[in-house]
Amino acid sequence: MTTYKISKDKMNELLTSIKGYDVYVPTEMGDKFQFRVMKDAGDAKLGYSQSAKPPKDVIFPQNEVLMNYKIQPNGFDVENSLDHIGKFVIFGIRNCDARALKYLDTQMLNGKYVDPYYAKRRENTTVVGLACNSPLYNCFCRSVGAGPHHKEGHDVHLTELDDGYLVEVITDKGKELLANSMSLLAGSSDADTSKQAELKQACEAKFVRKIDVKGNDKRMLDIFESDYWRDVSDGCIGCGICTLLCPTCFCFDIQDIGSRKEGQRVRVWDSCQYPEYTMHASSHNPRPGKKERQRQRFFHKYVYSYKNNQMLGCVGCGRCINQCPTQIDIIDVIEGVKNVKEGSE
Amino acid sequence: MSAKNDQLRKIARTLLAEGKVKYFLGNVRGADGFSSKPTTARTPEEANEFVWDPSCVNNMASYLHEDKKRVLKRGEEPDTRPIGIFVKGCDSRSVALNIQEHIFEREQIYIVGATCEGVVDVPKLKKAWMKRGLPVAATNTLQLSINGDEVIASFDGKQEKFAKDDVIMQRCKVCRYPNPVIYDELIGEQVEPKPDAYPDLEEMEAMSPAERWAFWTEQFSTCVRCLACRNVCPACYCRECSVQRSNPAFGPRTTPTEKMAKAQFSNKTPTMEDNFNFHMSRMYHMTGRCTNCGECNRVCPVGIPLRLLTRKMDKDVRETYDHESGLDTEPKNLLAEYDDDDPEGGFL
Ligand code: SF4
Ligand code: SF4
Ligand code: SF4
Ligand code: SF4
Ligand code: SF4
Repeated sequence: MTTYKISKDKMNELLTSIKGYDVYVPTEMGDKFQFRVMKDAGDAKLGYSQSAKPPKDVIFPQNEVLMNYKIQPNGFDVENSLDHIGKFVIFGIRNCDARALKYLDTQMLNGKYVDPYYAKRRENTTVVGLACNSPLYNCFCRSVGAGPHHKEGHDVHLTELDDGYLVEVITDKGKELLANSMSLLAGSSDADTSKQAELKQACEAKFVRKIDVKGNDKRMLDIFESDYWRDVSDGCIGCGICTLLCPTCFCFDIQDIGSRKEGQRVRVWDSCQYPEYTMHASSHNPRPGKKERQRQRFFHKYVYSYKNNQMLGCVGCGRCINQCPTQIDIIDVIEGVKNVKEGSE
Repeated sequence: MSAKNDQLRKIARTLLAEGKVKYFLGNVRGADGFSSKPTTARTPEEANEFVWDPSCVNNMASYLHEDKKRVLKRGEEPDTRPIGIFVKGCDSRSVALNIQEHIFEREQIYIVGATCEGVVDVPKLKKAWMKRGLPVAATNTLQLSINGDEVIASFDGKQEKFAKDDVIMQRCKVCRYPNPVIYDELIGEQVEPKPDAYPDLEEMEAMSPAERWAFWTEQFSTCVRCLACRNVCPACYCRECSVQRSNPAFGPRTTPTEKMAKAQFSNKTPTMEDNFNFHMSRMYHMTGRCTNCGECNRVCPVGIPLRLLTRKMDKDVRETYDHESGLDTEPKNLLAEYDDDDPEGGFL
């Protein structure tokens, strides 16, 4: 790892010097931030707090055309979109979201079941992380194995200092990305590194919310049938915001769109919060209501994921809490498990 | 403010204790003091948790439909008692609309109305709170109230004041129905309605068609089609929706004929065409029905200003047909009315 420094006024120049990639940067949209392909370096808002949608959609797009097909008089043409996947940079990703990519890897690049589309996009993406100096109210990454200054999964790691950014080049991919921009970077001093440590500590002290996950998985299994799950999901409207906008959720559906002669096969995000998700062809639905569907979300994230991959399915970004229209709060729900009176059933 | 809480709790408690309602829909405190959480109270004890303060943004009328959608267990007798519900001025219009459209009969709903001076825009208030550097942990014990032009947040014996215009919902700034239009019991003194005007539409109406197209193209480009705007809508009650996200053309109650006839208005794919398609279909289905409670605008996770569309529709419908939905319980429906003497040959 090599550490450099760049002054703030040179950041736009650095962004512009990146060539041959689609560069996704945080941009402002109304009251919210969204990662979008950079058209002008001035659009990049590196002082952003959190993007409404996590940048997982660079690697796992919500609407991904897998192939185009066309029926010809003698046979048919298939154009596999795998051949047209370009190169991407996610510039300024927060650590929770970067860690979520590692979680997605456990699902999509899992042994012999490798998802080729995901794999190719992942391979073609360079991740530039940006440390958080101030958490949002509902951030709890520190309780679930991530942290505001963690560098896990980053190719380059940026830390905003008073007079510039500390630039840590971590992997070869990162080196390659910045190959054209070296003239903009200067060396860093010890004072910069100690300032970084100071910022880290100050940020960690600002966290309000936390979750203690120890033993909760067993307790949750114990009360699987409890009315607790009905009560916590009482206000849920089944919109699936908590899953679509969750950086670790990876459920998808495949749709064929077009006519009999030509069309597309498309992959779209899906969510366990929708009734159709578990609907059988017979019309029977094993998860008939919000109790069962919300329970699935909590169990997948806090029980099954851990069991299968030794990694929680939640990186503590707090989006599902911030964005839930009905104030369903995953921290309260998981913590609340401890107080459920019922014993094993 | 706590007097209002007590009043609501007492009414709901009594109704539940006497078995006059099967359950009661209201708000309880959310995780922080800025927000409240919609909930169903089934016992008098649960009703003791209810709050009525400016954090009560949720329109509880949206939850009425669940009663219709619930499938009875085998051998289960339907509970015919009314549903108890807490409504603010705007919410009461949603309940009235459901009665106008015969989704519910008047006696199936026991309405506890509250006159309303506005509710807070939670993200805005949170931002203002952070900006002033106020203690974040204090939000756990926060109490909100409105006094004249100020929203007052009390915590730990201290008070923090915010200008009402900065932190309340946009919908409340133009609210013409702060007093419930229909109720069985009423909490609070009558509140002065806001003037009949549409200042919120000026900017959009000044745009040229090309500018408007560009504006909405950008807005809809981020729509994730979660359909939260539809799910939360108190005027959306179809068991199956024409823009359903999933392909299977059936639900528990679909008959074979319906399966064959089922139209899929927009694909599940969140492309620009499908997003436009979805939003335009929804707006058409809302014309003359939407009561402008503003819930779709509130819940959108990516901040699409859907209320610009619903308000514009409201304005046009009023100007063109002099019609406003959800003001009383008489059956009245702008686009489903039929008159034998109508000069036009067909009807919708
Ligand atoms: S975001 Fe909230 S209301 Fe929507 S499905 Fe998730 S828990 Fe339910
Ligand atoms: S099952 Fe639900 S919680 Fe799990 S990844 Fe899929 S959408 Fe997310
Ligand atoms: S479950 Fe919620 S807090 Fe955890 S990663 Fe997903 S959106 Fe973030
Ligand atoms: S729109 Fe009117 S009735 Fe509704 S919350 Fe705002 S002020 Fe209250
Ligand atoms: S709530 Fe927002 S993101 Fe979701 S479908 Fe509606 S407009 Fe789209």
